[in-house]
Amino acid sequence: MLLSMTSRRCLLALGAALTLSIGLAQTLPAQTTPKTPPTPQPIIPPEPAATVTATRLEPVALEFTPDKLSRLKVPAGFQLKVMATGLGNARSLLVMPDGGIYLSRMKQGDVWYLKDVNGDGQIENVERKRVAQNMSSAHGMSVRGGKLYVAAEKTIWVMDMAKDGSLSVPRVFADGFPDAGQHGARGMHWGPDGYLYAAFGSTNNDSRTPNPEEATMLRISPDGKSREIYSSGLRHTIGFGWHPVTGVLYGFDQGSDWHGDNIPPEEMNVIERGKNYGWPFCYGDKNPDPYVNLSSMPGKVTKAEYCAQTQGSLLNYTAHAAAIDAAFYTGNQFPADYKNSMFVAYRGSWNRSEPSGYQIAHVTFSNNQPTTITPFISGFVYQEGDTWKQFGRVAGVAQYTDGSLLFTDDQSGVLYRVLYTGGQK
Amino acid sequence: MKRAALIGLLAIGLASAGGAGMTMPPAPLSAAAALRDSAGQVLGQATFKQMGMGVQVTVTVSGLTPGQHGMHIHEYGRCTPGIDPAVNMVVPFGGAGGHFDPGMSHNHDSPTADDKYGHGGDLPVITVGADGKGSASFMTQKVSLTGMTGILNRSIVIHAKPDDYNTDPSGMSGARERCGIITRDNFAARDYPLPGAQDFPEGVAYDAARGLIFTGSAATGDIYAINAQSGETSLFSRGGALGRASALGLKVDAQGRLWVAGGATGAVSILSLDGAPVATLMTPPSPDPYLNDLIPTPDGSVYVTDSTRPMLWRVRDMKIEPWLDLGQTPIKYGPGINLNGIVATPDGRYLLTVQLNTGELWRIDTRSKAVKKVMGGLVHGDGLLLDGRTLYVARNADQVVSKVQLSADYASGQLTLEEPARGLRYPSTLIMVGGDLVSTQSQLDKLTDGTPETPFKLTRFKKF
Repeated sequence: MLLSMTSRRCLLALGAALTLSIGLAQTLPAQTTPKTPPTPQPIIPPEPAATVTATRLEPVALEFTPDKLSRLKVPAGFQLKVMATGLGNARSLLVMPDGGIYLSRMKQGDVWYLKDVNGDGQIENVERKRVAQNMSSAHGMSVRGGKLYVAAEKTIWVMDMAKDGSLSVPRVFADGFPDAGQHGARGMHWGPDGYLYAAFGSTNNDSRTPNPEEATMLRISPDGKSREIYSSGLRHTIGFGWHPVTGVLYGFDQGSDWHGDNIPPEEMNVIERGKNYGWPFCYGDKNPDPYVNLSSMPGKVTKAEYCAQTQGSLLNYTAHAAAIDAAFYTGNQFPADYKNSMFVAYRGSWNRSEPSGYQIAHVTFSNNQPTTITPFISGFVYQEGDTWKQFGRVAGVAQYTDGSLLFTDDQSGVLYRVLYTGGQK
Repeated sequence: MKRAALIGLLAIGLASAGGAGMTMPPAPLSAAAALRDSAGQVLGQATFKQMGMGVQVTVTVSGLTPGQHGMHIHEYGRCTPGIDPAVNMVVPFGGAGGHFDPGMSHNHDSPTADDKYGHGGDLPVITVGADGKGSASFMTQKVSLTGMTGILNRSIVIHAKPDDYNTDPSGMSGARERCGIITRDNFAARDYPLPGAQDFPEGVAYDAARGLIFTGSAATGDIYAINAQSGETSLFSRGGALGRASALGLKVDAQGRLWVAGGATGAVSILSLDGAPVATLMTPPSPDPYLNDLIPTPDGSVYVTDSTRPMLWRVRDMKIEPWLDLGQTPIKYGPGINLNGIVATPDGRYLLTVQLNTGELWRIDTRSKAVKKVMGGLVHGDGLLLDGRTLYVARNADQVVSKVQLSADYASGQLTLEEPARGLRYPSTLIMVGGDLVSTQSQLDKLTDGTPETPFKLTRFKKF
């Protein structure tokens, strides 16, 4: 040992510090080139001033009436039908194999069970029942092992399901999640790995939050007692899902308000474990957001350094469109191109001079890779004279048992159904 | 004590190190810095020799304007451009940071002031002649090459103007003209750099079967896996979720799972081989929990220290329970961090745990729960590593790893050596990889005051 130490010292004496790793190579493994991490500074250097023009524009909200249906644009060959109205704050949908539909109502904090028993395409009053209540901000739903899990603000509830759709009294499955704040709608799905994935938005608009579970995708152990931050920097991702073929997890994130008409764009992300998607400091392709102040930069590093370590988005969409839910289409009713593509409900903007969203959008896939996001069902928002008006805030989207597509309007409580008829009525 | 092992090390009590019976003369603890200008050209040299409690400093420099130039030890071991906070602009050698201030005086003073009253790094001015050359040679006890005032892997900076030995922050000594990193002579070490700006690596564990070193962030709870061979680092588990907002002591159990002491979260987390959460064990909610370190024993128990609540916890069958009420033992809790690092003898009979604020090492019998004081003198003792009857103690604020020889029954011990390595910034925990020690450089002092130096790193060097 002494000899080896001595010889190593001789080697080291030959060169300066730079040759140290070479000298060590005899007894210690070679050293890889270190990646340069950001440099914390006593004071972060200033950025140029940035001025923004932002618009609050909430289109005049109109109750749904059947005469407005003609305003909706539906792709050729598709037909739109109304399955139910008067559903209240109709948000997420969960379709069971027997055609039963669980519907969460965020403002009412309850869950309804809808079933078109007589098969007439309508959910009449006798075909609806409330099956759970007193769950503040009930939103995301997922089923596993005969149990329904509901994500509701700070708690994930679990209930036993009966054949008739009724539920047992809710029990706490996991608790102590972040406050709702500005973004209390939780998306939640059991993942292919047997863990429960639930996304918790930020309590605020555009600054770092003290609770590290905010603005994240959490992965929760099957017993509900342990969890990890699967990915972070997600301001408000609600709609997400795994590609039926590739298993890749895609999610749709809502960007910050008050940063102008086009900054930041809405993001479609590939959500991977351990990655940071940049909010509040970066958007899109790791772009530093000029309108976020520096005071809360974690680790006292520059925004540029911080953003370089984050993950960019895969596709962007019009700013402020506000994706709520997203669902893969795996049915056979739609043309073959639609198989394994994705539908997204963009609830619509309130912070853009020309409203965005107010539509169901379609994410096309080519070779199982997302390529574009385009409007699928639109026309809920329109301009009349100088006035913008809207008659629908779309929220939940799900595939029905027959391969048609369901979506909700949480403003008027409408359940819509999109069928492919190929032009046949 | 084997005298031969003194090579390259600072012995406790330098007088004994020079004693008879040496097979080889002990290498003195020394360091050097190549002084560069902002273009990177070497225009000077500084050498540092440890002489008892003081350091002999010799500096030669050229190419400076004639007259006096302020000269200081700066906090960081880097001579890069960096922010000068006074003007919030990048200046040459700003990366060296402010004056080294081990006494936390926050005051610029003369080279003769005590560290309590002035920066430890305040050196005498250097005088440059008409030929642009200057030299200085002096002894100082304000700094050392080891211990709390250790300057290894910090920097020496020569300024443009004289030092008035008074004005904050640097005696009106002006721009930074020369800078050199103080590098220990003849000491082989290897760094494992970490990728983040807030890594503050507190805990470390080694999975020998997979050749992976795990280290976790006290600040964020992020846990990295480092390939011990290649140094490749990947995020193993993102911190921040329930019970995982901080990661302190880490251990790998017989099944390869990683156990995490969650500090102020009051939780112990268990992670699967791929880092997925397996279990989160919460101690009862009470003010100021601080689960600091843990150790599995052969019977399947895991013992957990709590640095603020006088309780030794034990996990059995995935349940955490109070095991030993320390109020009923000689271990007396006081302000600050109490019980910290913990190890077990191979048979699981005894636990050894160090009390950071008192410097006491305790032996706890897992059968009878009897507590015995092994020794004192280990203030700032943080992580422990037991290698046969040798105990290595990471002594964070002292910037050294201490070596203790224990008696056969672990009931008594003697401090034999202190290793500053190549400069350790708050070494908090240790593992053994092959014949080497790997120590974290946690910079935990920078969590509350100052700015950490990146990259954060673990440092590997020969067992001593």
